[in-house]
Amino acid sequence: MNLNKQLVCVSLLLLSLPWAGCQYLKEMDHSLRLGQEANLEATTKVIAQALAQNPAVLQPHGQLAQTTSKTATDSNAFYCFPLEAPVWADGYDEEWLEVPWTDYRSEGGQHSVRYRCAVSGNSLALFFSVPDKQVIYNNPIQSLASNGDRLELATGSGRNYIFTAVAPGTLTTRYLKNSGQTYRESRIDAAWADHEGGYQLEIKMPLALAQGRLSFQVIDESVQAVNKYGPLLNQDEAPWFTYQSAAAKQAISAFSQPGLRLLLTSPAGWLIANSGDPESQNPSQAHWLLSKLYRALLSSSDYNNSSYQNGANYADHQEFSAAQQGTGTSHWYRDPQRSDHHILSTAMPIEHDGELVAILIAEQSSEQTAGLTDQAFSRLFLLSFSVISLTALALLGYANWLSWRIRRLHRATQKTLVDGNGIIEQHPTSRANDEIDQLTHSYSDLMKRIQEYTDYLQTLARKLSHELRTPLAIIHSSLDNLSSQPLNEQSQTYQQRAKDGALRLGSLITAMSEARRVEESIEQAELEDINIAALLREITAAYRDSYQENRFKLTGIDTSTIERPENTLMAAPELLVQMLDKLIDNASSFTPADGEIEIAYQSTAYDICIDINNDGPLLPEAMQSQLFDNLVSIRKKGSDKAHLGMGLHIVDLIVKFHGGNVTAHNRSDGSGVIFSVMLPRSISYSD
Amino acid sequence: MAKRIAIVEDEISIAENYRDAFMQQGYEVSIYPDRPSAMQAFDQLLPDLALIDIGLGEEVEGGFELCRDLRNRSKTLPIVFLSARESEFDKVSGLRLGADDYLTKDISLPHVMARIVALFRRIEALTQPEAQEEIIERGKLALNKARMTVNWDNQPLDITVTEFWIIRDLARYPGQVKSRQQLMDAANVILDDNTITSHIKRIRKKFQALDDDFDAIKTAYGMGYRWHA
Repeated sequence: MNLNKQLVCVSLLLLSLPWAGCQYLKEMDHSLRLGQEANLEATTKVIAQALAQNPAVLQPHGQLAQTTSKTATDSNAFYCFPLEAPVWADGYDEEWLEVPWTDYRSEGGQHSVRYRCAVSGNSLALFFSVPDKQVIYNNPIQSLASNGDRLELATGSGRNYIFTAVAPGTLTTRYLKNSGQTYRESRIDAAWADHEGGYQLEIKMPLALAQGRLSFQVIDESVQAVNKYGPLLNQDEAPWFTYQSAAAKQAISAFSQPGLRLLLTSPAGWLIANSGDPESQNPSQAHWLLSKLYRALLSSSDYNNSSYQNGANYADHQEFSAAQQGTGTSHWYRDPQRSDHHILSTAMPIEHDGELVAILIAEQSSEQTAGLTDQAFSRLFLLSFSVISLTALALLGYANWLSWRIRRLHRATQKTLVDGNGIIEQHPTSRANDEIDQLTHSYSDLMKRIQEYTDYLQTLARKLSHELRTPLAIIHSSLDNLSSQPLNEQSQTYQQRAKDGALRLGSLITAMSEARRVEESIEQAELEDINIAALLREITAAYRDSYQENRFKLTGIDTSTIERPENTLMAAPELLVQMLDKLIDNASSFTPADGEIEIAYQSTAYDICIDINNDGPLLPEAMQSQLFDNLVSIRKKGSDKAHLGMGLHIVDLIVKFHGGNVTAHNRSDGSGVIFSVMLPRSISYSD
Repeated sequence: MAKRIAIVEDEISIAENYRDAFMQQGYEVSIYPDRPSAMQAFDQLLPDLALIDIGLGEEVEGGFELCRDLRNRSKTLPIVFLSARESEFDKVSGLRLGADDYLTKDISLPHVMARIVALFRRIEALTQPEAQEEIIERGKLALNKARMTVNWDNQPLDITVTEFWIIRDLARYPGQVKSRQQLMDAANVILDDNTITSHIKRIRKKFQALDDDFDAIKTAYGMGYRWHA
């Protein structure tokens, strides 16, 4: 993992910035919502108190004065849904489709009736669906209203209207007076229709006629018996019915304001009036993608995830139950249409003289505050995005700069190490006074020290050879003088041994300064066109004489084409010969007796290659790269000749002077070693 | 009269060893450890031969100065450098200053002696009539053994004793390859191969200075050199 990647990883920590921002936004959103709740509750409370001053509006028939709260919440009380279209009493329900059925089930459970109830303008409309296996029509001969299957509807006027049909179709509504006489009621339209498994009855009457109360019972005549069932059966008086009144709507719409929906319900939860729209009037200005992202981020917050149930009855709502107990509370709902929107609903009881008259529900969309936080989020997003991009860019740039400097240092060091030819590259310096700069300086110093050390080693041999020469001359001249003295035999032996030792010392000293002398001759070398193939052929013959213990083989030279110009190269012949001498000497010293040394010649368009290929022990892997350095020897100690590790260094010097390179590697089969010298045709002169 | 040899050498042991050897051969030897004392003595009487070290005590290149001085006083006085320095630069400088030979200190006493003798002989030969001289002629080359002079195309070649011996050894049997060792033996020097190579190079240059087409000394790679008539 390089520095860049590491820094990218570290800069991922920057992502905590938007996270922290989001946390803050959540906090803000939460407190805003709390604020919104409190605000809405306060508003609702004020409106509820205002409405409580005028209970008549809420209960147009003065129910409050006459009834107890028990009857007000009677489960059998009618609720009339508002219906836009006018109702035609024809016994069919095509105009009723949007009005839900209400089920009535008798106490024993053996009878059930479905009915619908609606208010359309000033009319009250009812639609009954009565199951009856055997429909028995009214026989007007017996009586007009007291026989046959019939339905009895009780109203607030005290009159019980009876609906029975002689035949399917429009029927006449009648009522019985206490005297037992039957009267017609012409203000009520009704129609009877047969239906599968029973009959349907549709009734339309003026709203005022009901006087606020409604109840019914079904009288089902059959051959065996007469069954009566319905809520009216157990009641002295019909309960108040609830409907959405224009007066109530007018009353609450006075309080409506943008983004607020007010709902007025009966204590049982039936809707009396609604007004306004909970949608926020200042929708979010943020980009849709941002606001979506924002909502996604906040969605995990503490919303109660119950979905908002739309309907005519609010009794199921949590806040409503609390309001029924007399306390106003708030509750959050998920908007069923838009999953990321929420609805705040506050219910407040309206009391009059300690009695629960109605419940006021105020609803507001979460967008009211979300719009604000949306904007904050957009700003936060933009801000943190730009901060992150900037910082990431800066970090990347910084990392690049750092790694560039380190790479430069690495390259310079590598170059110095690889070159190893005594030229130390000026180490890169910079004005930044930091650790890398210090490291660079340290490296520079280190390299300088190493270079000084190498230089010292190189000059040491030279200096030593120079300094040793004078004492050696004293020994030599003394011994020479001694030989002219009359000596006995033993003294002569010792004198001879001393002479031999001094000579050996002399050759050692000469060897020590050999590299220096080669450098000198390189400085003075003159290049000429040399036929390398001819030179090799000539010199191999000479080697055969000199190294009789080894066999020599020269390959790659065609005698017939030897004079061709491709065998010719600009070179210093003496140096080349010296180089070959060293290589052959080296090869010969490692080749076992009677081993073979192969000199392979190859001429290509770009260079001439000479491989010295000999049997013998392999090179240690670790040493192969520094084999050609000064003072490096891989020979085992104890060999008779002096080896200072100069020979191959001299080879390297000479080859480099010719612009070529020399490498050493083991034969792939492990049987020996190959030294390859490559001499390019177009040489770049370097001294 | 015995020949007088002056040894200017700050290393007293060497100087005395040489003195002993020379005196044994019947030379008269005086030793000077530094340049001033040598100059003082030379002011009164010039020696017949001067053997000078380059580094003289404090004076790193005192020998060179002394050589220059001596050469100013006498054109013919044989001057030989004997130094531990073996760089080409020092050799060239020494010979340019007019020295007759440049020897490194690893040379053996008999070799030095041979050189001294040869130099004296050359001086003597120059003063004697040419009649009895032994002359080797190889084409344009004419070698006078006694005078140790070499002529190419009748032009004299300015050479040192070492160079003369190398040329003579090569030219004696034209076509025959002389190894470096053989050339060293002939020149009475113990040198490494490189020094012979640079001697050969120098000799070639001297010939080429007289004749651009000089090509008589051939290199036999890996073996040595031969005279190509």
